[in-house]
Amino acid sequence: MKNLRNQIVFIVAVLVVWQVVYQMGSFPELMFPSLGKIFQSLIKGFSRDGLGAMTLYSLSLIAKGLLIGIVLAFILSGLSIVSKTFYSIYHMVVSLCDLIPGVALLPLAILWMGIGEGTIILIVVHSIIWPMSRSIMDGFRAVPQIYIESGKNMGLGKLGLVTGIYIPASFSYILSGIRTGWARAWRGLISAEMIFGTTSSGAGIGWFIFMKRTNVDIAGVFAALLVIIAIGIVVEYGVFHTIEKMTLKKWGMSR
Amino acid sequence: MTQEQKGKTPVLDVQNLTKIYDNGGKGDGNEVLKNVNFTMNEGEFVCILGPSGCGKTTFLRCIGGFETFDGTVKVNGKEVTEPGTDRIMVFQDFNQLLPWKTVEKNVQYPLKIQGLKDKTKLREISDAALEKVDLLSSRTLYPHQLSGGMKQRVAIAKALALKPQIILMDEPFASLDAMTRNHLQEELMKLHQKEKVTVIFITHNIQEAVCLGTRILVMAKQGGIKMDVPNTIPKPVTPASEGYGQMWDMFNKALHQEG
Repeated sequence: MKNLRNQIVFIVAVLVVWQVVYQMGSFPELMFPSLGKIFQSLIKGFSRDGLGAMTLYSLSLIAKGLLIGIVLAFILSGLSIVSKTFYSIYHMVVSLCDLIPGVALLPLAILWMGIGEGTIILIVVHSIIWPMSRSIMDGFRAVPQIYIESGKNMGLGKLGLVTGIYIPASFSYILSGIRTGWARAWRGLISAEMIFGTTSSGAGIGWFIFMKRTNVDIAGVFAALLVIIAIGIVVEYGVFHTIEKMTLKKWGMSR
Repeated sequence: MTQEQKGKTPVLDVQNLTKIYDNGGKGDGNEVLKNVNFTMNEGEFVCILGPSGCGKTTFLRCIGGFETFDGTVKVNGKEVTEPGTDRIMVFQDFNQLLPWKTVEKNVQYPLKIQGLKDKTKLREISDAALEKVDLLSSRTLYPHQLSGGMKQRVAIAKALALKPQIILMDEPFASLDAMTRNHLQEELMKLHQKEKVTVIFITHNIQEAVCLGTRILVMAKQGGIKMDVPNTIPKPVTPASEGYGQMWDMFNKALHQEG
């Protein structure tokens, strides 16, 4: 509870400072809109400019990309336990691919797959699969030998060891991998949306930001950023913290 | 196999067991065990004493199937090549229980892996095993909520529930305080008498070996068995038991003399 209070005090302080800077009038209003204006833009965004639908569309793309990325990362990292050859190759692939920003792949993705949902999902998957695989593989390496030997002693085979021992034993690494993946997915998604705008099936929050910038509606840009922040807070405290409480904290594997 | 034959065939038959840890290609490697021969019958409680680094843990791990080795290890005539549920290890490390499973699930999990799916049956077995180590009331706790001694008792319950041919114990009580340790020794001794389990128990504590073992081995620094004697002192063994002093003395000398 004390943490929550401190966090709220901090946020209120930031808002107050913001408003004071605005009142001092040292920046043009175009660059530094008032809190009231941003709030109005937020309301207007949802009521007239379809910000709600765009947000949902972006979220649906993230969900698809995350799902594909997480499943692939688990399968590929799991294989790296089963086969040493696969591990050495996949480890190298992860190191190489993790360096390439998703946006840099966009020209190629558009060329190969056209402008559409598939391209964005590809960028999202690319943004998360490598950091997640890295976390999962690091986690697998850090699993205490005694759990693995216990597992073998109980009669677990290679696949059984991955699902029965490696995954639960490295759950803190996996969770932090999913966290990183989720954050990277947002970045990849927004960049892709801002670069090629709408797809045949819909426009996302990145497009909203791009439009507002084009129309020099800076309060609108801030409103979109607030939406992204709000989603981030809900996911962090609503989803990740709950999962942590139900798993790592309950198991005594994290404080 | 009839009961009579079973009594005669050794449960464990180790022939010419040699284990060399290689030094990554440099030099000859480190020979930890050299031509060890050893047989053991059902129901025996063998304690192995030895100085640090004499290879007693390696010996146990070879029997457990956790190491590659030269020679043969047979359990009930079947050659050991990998770990299996007929030989259950109880480690010294308190963290051998899976932290994400409750006490009860830790006991049930290996049975599930063996294909037992019936929930009532699983519960029955785990309850009985936990009852034996006096931990039934803690069955829904997670390992991090237990003390070190309790964790070791759960590990023993887990082994009992599987009804293995041999339970391999690698200094399970070495990290416990003296009081808990004495208490657990007593419990384990009673369990052995009641359940007729076959146990190999590694320790560097003479008192522990004399209290628990029906037969005591001393390993030499060079990785061989240099002494193999039956423990004739009737259970329960206390320092006041007749013959305790002589036995303690004999092992103490054996442990301290070179080679």
